[in-house]
Amino acid sequence: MRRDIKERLLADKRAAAEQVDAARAEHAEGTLTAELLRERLFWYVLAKFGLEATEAPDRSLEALAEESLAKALRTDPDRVLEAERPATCDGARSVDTKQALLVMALQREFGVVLDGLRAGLADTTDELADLVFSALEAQGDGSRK
Amino acid sequence: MKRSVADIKLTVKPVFIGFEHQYYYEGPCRMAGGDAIKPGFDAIVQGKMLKGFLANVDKYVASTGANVLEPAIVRGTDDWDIKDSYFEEMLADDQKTDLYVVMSNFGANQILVEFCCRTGKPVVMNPTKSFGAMSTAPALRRGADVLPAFDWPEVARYCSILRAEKAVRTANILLAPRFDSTTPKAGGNDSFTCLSDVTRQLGCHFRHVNVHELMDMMSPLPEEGNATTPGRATPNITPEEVARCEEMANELMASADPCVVDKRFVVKSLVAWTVVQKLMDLYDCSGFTAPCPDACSTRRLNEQQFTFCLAHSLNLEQGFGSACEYDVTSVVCMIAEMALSNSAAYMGNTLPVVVTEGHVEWPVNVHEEDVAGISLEDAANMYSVIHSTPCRKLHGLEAAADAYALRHFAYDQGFGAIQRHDFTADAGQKITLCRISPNLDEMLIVSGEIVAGTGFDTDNCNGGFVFKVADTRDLFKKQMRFGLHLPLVYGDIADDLEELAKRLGLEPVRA
Repeated sequence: MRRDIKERLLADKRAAAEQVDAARAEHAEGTLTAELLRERLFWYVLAKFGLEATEAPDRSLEALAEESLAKALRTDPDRVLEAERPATCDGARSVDTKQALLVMALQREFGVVLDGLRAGLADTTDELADLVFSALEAQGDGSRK
Repeated sequence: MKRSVADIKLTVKPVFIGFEHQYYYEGPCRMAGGDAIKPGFDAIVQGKMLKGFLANVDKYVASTGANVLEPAIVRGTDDWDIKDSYFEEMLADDQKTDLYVVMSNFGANQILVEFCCRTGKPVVMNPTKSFGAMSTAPALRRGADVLPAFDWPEVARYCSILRAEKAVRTANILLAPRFDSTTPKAGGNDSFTCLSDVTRQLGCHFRHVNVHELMDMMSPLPEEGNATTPGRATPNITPEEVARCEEMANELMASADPCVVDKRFVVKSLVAWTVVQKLMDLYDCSGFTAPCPDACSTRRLNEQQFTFCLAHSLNLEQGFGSACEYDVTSVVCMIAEMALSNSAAYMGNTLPVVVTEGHVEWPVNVHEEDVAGISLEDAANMYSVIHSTPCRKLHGLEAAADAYALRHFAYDQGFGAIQRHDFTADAGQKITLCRISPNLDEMLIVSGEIVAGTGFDTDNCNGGFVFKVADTRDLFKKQMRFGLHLPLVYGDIADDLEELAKRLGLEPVRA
């Protein structure tokens, strides 16, 4: 892997982790609001997708996934082929797989379990954030389920 | 209530059958690694696929005017259980559903096959995904009605065809016989040989009114009742409805160019139409036919000074099948064609232009001055269609009304208002004609192109056009097995008619 790509991946990973850590701390303090989580989740998704804010077309998960794939193809096509192979027998689109992997990571890192079908139906980062917020609220004191 | 093709809506139920692995494991059914084969992943990605599926249903199905119901969602798992609750969910709206559009996932194949077999309704699979043939083949071979859509535009096409099928199968047709209620003494002798067979095979039903009782209803109800039904309350024309006919006559005559008929005769024709519409409304009908020669010979049309021509024209432009000469077959064909094309139908005596021994024998009612410019070579593959029942919506039931003329049927007395349409202005227009065989085994489907109109400036049973066909002699030989009238609509719907014919149990015959 090229050094510049590796460094960018590490930076994105750190940026995503910062959003998660901040949100979990705010939840534990009782200061996390739905609106705040929407912002954190938006930046989390950008980091996970390797996008700068200027590269985000809007908050549509599909649009962000498409832009992320397009960017990755421009910079590292081999990595895209490796990571984006169809994950199901029904040949879900690459953008579907990318969003599904995002939600899997999100659940693990935020410490929540979401209804998978409902999460899959989410259109925007805001919708996804609201699902995460509801799940965190249901946990009460922020303890991990 | 009367029911035109425009009132027919297809009700569509989307169904999503998901499949989720509940545990992490690798093996010959796992095509990925890491998070993609952990519990929860399948549900998420299927949420995405469901979203895309419903977006396509909206784009390609709802946009056809179909009534799309709430989707049924079933989540199968690698426990391989098949629960009755799955089918209760999917079949909850089965009674009102006309078509299921299904997206399924690999692993849920048995659920899908059983669903297709349990419902008697047609099922179209989400195109391109789901390894469809794995499920469609066993379902089809077990008698399920599965439509193989190649792509989403074909799903939309199936919606159109099924809507036309529904229009035919749910049609009640008003018949006004004088003698035998199956076929008349003269005219539609080439119509269906058995109306019970029509109901059994095509689904449509028939409602009867005696033609004498109908004609009695064209005057306000006398205190003692009509002569044919003394003492009974019948849906006769009312004075208010006659007044409305007077207004409507003014409107029709004002926009006709030319208008060569006396107003009192337009009113009488409109009274006939109003009574027909009242009966169609009373009996929940989608079509109408009455016998021309049989009724004419009662002399009552002469006495009451009307014909049914304008009634047919006005019925057709509202999307009701309506044919003269008691041609029941034509009414059914018109309903099918209008539902597919969303245009009004036209029907006439359909005859070949015979080029033989170096000269052209133009069919009766084709006026030679109208076709003088057609060469012998061009006339070699032509046909003609003539009747007095064109209407103003040949270009579309929702399109602006076509220009038209009003003339009269009866030469001497001038009664019987008839419309005329200048078919020469439509030269080059593609048309599709069809007719079902009298014994319900085949449907003749013909493609043509209008060349020139004829009879625009004439009265009586005239007016129509000559049109190009692929092979006159071939069409003639085939037509001899189907009948004289070949109802038509503007546009090329031949392939859709062929598909519809098969669904109605009719072997398509193309020409």
